Amino acid sequence: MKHRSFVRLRRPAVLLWLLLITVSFGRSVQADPVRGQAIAAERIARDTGWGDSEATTKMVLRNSQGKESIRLLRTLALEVPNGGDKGLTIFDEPKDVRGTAFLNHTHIGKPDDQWLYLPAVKRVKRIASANKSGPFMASEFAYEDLTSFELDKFQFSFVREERIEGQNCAVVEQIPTDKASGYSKMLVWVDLTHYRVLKTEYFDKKQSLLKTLLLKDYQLYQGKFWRSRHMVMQNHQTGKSTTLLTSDIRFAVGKTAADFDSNALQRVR
Amino acid sequence: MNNNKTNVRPTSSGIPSIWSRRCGFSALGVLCINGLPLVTANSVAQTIQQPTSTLQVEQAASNRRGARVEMSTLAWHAQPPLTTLANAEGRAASASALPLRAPVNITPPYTLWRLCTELTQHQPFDRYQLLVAIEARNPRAFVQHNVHKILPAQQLVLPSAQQVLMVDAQLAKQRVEADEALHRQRGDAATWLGIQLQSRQQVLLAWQTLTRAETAQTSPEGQDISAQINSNAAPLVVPSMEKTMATASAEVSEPDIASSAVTTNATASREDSTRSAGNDGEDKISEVEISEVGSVHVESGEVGSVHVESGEATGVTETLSKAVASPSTATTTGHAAPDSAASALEASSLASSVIEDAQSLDVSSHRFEQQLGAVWRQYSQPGRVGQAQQQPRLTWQAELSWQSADDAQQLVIVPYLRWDGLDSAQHLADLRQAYWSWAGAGIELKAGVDKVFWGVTESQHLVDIINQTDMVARPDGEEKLGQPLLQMNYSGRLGTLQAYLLPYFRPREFAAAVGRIRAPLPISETPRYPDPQQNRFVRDYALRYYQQFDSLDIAISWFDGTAREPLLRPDAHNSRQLEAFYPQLQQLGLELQWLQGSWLWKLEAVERRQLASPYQAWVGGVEYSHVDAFSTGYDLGWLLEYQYDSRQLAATTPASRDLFAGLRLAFNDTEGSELLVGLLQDVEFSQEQSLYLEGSTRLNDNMRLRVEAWLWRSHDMQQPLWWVAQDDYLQLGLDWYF
Repeated sequence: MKHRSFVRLRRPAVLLWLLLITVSFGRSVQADPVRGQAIAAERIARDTGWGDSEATTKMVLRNSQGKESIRLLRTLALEVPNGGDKGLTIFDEPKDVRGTAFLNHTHIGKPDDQWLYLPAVKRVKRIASANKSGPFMASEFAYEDLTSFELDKFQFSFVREERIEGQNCAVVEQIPTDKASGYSKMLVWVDLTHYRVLKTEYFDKKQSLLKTLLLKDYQLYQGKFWRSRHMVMQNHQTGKSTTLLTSDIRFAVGKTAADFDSNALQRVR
Repeated sequence: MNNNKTNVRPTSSGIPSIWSRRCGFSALGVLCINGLPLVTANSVAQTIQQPTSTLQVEQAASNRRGARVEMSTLAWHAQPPLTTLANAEGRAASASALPLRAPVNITPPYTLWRLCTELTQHQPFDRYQLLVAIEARNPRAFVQHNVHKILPAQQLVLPSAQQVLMVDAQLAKQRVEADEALHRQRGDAATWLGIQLQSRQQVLLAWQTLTRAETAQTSPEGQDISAQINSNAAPLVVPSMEKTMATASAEVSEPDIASSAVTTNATASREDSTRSAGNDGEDKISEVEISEVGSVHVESGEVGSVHVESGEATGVTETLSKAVASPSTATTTGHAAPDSAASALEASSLASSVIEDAQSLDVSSHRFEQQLGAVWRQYSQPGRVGQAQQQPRLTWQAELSWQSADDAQQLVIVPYLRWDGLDSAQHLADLRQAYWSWAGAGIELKAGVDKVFWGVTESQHLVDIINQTDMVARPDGEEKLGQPLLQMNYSGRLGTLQAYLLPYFRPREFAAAVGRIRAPLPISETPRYPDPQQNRFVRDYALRYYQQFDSLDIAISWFDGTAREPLLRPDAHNSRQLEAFYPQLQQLGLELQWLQGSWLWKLEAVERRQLASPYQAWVGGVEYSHVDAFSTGYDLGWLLEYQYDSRQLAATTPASRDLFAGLRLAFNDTEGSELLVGLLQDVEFSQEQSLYLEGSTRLNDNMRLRVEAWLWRSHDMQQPLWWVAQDDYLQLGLDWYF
């Protein structure tokens, strides 16, 4: 009985503390969920209708001493209207993992489906997608950073407007709805001309700044779709960084859902 | 031997009348009166060829059932002859003779078991040893060499105390218990189980004989077999020991020949009965086969006893000297493979200079990649027959692939070469893959050689059946030989249907005598099939239906063809080696996988039917992924699986009732370091376990270092694991990709 009353007393105190922390960290004068949602919706609207795409990516991993190691991958993506997009990543280097393929079916409101294809044993292995917070190929990108952007994955609120890189941006706070996410929140800088993401700050579960992603070298494809060809993810806690250099981005290459089926992993070359 | 086939005809009780020949033989041949010295091996050889009498067995069927040793009641004219046990050493009670002064009749309720118990009360050996020794001394008096299945109207000869002492006490107990377990098995399963267990026991006996002979020759109490093999000097033979040993080995290896002859003969006669009975005859062999095995046995006894005259002791020495000689042959023949590997390498480097890596996706693309592996395997101790402790190995694999501009067509060629520094039998040139494939809307066709994986579990791959396992490459069976096939996949909304035609069978590769991780005896290179006409061109086929429901994956598969996993049994033509027997197999398989957050539940189950005996096996468990475990940045995967095989002791794999616990650790570092540890523990036999460790890390963009270790623990010769219990190893490997 005594114990229970103790708990009851503690609860308001905890809430108060949480409120204090949020206020002091957010520094937001007025958080605006409606505007945040609208900006996110516009982002998605401007990036709809691309169909399918493929690209070649060079990933440069840098440790805190500046030592680099290179990964080469090919990525294929398929847009699924009113559903989660599908992505296929094929590893070319390092050579000991070449031929390995990672297939992701993004879902809204439930965990993604993920498969890994291991060419040495020709095995398609289903993997638990709860590992979304895990690092992708030892890079500073987590799996969840690379899956498609969907409205239902976050709670949005507009924080403020800010000018970076000479462009007017909206700073939008995104709180992941999935508890398996590795982040407590993200701050996203969206330019208000083309609704492209220019910068993202990731906060870990302890509310401290974990990583910053800078997206540069945007190029317009098909007269409509902007793609960054140079992304840098800096981890502030470890000092490591990862650069993604994307080339050969091509749209409408004729990929269909069959190419993103787990059966098709066997054919991946 | 074959001319007696016509004598085999099943009677209403399921016991063929040829049993009468056996009774006749014992009545004529073994004259045991008032405990006089009885039969020598030679006299058996002669008497066995005597014309048969017309003794009728009235109620012999009870031999196959019932507990322990039970005698059947017989009607032989008026006077029923009873199974009698007499002392081989005769009336004069020497030091080696057992205290049996007069022949003892064994009639229910008195049993051989009770007799053994009584006889061993004041002896330095126990009743298990005696019982096993009696069976070894009188192999023809027991059905299928089962100590619990004594035939009626037999004159048993009591072994000498020395012979009994040569039987290992612990093994004897296990043998008697295994026989009893087998004896208690009912129905069809008994056939298959019997053959399995029986051949294993014979293999073990043959092995024991070989090693014991060896030990007897050098130092009676010595255990250092390797020393024996390494010394090139001719083994010194103490005359008296040699004599004992010759008898012992004659007695023991005789069943080997007998039983293998039985199986071949039984197959032959089965063929006959199948022909006469029509198409469904094959399914009905279960009942008949038991009796046939029993009956044909007498004929094969001829071979066995004739064989005795040649003298086994020299044979044993021969095998050993062969074992000494073979390492040198291995090294001389070993040079051939690296040369071919080198030339292949040259060819491939030429090819790579011609073919450019075409990354462009518009046009058809080629790829050419190679992989060179160097491995050093260090065993913790010399092998069971003194094999070397070091095993270097080189492998080369290339992959040449071509893809058409529209991605619909692919051509893939993956050659593989292996050179082994210990055992030339482990050299291998293989086409792992060589196929052409075409993929259209929902349909995929493939022709050529390929590797196909089915299944979901980690500790064992039960349903995976298309490819032959390359056991020589890895003891865990993860490596496969290429399988020629014609494959068609059809994918639709209702799932995926895969159909395979497998026109060519690939037998398993085995280590030679000098090689390691192998059965106690070397295995013949000639594979055996139930149908002697069968060759490697076969009409095997397989089907698999696969569907995904949200977080649930289901696959049902069917396979009809030559079993990939052979039954090892004594070679009919060479008692010092085994042969791999590949029965026909029908397998119905089920795969289930259910994903629930970080939990992945898995089940693989098979119902297999081979040699008319069905059996079931399953493996199921869970995999739990723990990302950033304990805030270390490492990913932990926990694995827990249970393996079940309804054949129990007769299972050809160690996975009869085993629990597997594994831990997979991904360090998430730039080097992609990984570690996998697995422990397999037999639930029934606590001393049966294996521990597996595999780790790897990247040295640079082109190289990966791999570490692998296996530890096996087994104290039971009846367990398949026992064969490799001395082959614990640590392996270092370097893979170079270019």
